[in-house]
Amino acid sequence: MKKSILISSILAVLFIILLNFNFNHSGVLNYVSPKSMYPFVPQYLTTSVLIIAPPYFPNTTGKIIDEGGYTLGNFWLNWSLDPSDNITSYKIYMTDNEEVGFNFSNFNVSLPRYANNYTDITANQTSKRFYVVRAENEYGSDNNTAVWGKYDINFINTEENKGMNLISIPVQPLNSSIKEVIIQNESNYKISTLYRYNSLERKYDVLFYIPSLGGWTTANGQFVSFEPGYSYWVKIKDNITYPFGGDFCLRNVSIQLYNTSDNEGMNLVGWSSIKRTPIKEAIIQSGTNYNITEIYRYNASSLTYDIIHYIPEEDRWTNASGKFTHFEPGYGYWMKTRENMTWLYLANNLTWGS
Amino acid sequence: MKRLFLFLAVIITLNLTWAVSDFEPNYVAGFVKNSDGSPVEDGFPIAILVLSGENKDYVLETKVGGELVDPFMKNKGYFETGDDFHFNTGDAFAVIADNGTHYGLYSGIFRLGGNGGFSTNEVLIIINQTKNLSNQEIKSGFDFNYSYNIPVLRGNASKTIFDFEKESLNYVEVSDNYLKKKSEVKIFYLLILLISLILIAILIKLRKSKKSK
Repeated sequence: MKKSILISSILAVLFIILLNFNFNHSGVLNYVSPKSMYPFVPQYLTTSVLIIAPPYFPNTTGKIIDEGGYTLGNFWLNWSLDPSDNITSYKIYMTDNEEVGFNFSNFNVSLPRYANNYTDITANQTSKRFYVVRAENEYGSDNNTAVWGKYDINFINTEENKGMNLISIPVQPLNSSIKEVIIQNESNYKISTLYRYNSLERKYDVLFYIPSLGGWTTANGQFVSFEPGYSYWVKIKDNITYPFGGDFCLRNVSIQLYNTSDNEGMNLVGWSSIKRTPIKEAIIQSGTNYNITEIYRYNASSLTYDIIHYIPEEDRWTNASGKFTHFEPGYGYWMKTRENMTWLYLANNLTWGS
Repeated sequence: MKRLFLFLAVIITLNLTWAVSDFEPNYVAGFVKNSDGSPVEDGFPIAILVLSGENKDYVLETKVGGELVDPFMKNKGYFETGDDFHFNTGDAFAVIADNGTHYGLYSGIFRLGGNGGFSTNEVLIIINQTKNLSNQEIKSGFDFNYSYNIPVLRGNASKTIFDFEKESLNYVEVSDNYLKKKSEVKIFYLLILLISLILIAILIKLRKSKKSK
């Protein structure tokens, strides 16, 4: 009798453990919190759901469509199809506000199981748009959180600024080569020069657009792609709004800051994130252990920098008239450091809704 | 005649407000103290004069404890200009702190990232000079009619921004050309000014001769 009680107890425990695990499409055992199970599936069916309907994660990518010249801004999404027959449709969720995020209870577009791409022809009507693609079967959808989309940056050209704008790109493009990101041609080009600062050598690497070649100079063996953590001076011919497309996934950005006798501790850095973040949250330092003493944000309209200073005595940044308090997407920043250091920040630290 | 004067005024204004920025952040910040070492009161007038370079003779006026100064640094004799696009790395500048009867001076070369700050005494102005105002009207602040004896530094803070453009003349419009264009335009304006003055003189002469007839 005791033996049978023991065996049935062990079996019961094993059954409970089994209830709390799930296999994903690649056969790896994943723990699933019972709370996150599909709410519309009756609990008595839970076991069968977990076994027969592993969610399929479509491997999504996306980019701005080259429609020729500057009628840019529409977005093309592409994803891998589920090789099994489990998927019934693909649902596309959209939002124009990263703070609000997605409403995953209401999809924007539904596509059949054989569709593996979607073009949003209304994306150019908004300055930013974000997308998530989720696979769905008869029991519900996966919880894919790969966010792709576009973010527009405004460039100002005046007689005084000579068309010079300091920017950073808040997205990680699918292909970050300059030619893929800056889509223009001989008959219709607005961006003429790109500059990337080399803090160690205190000089700029420069790329010029050569209309006749439809490409960028590479003579100096300089940079060929946009990289996270960098700011770029962009010289334009006219006022333009330019869309940058890519993914907005959570990632760490690491930037090496230098202080040499030549550069006086000045480094040009980029805020490669869609999330507007308080300076104090992005730079972790204290009054007794700090390196970054000044941050400068360029204003292309006034041609001046807003400047904030670190006050070690009060472990805070100055907060007077005309000062800024957050790192914001699209802006480029100078940063002054007392010593060589690595600045690490978390990009796109957003919930994106539920 | 009125239209002509208006035209001239516009031209002169345009000519005077033309400025060139090097796109680098520059500022001047520091302390102003009385000769006994105590900080001057907030509101003490400050002028920063650009003494060399494209924006020579540009003047920025501010005050000790001005609006760009953090509350933390109020009432400590501290001033801060913030960035100004007339401030270019490598150009000489002077700071005049003048309350109308006494003044102090500082001169330097604009450095990338700024000169001075609240954690350094690099820019320290002592009000230790008395103005000789026998023939001058006393003003509440600094006075550009007054002859300050400013030592102009000729140092050369290393300048990086967009100097490379000079090496790339073959590719695109460059700052060198821009500067040349600017000086050409200046000459153009001066020529128009000269011609206009001659025309005015001729008009006045013609009027006078008509009247005498």
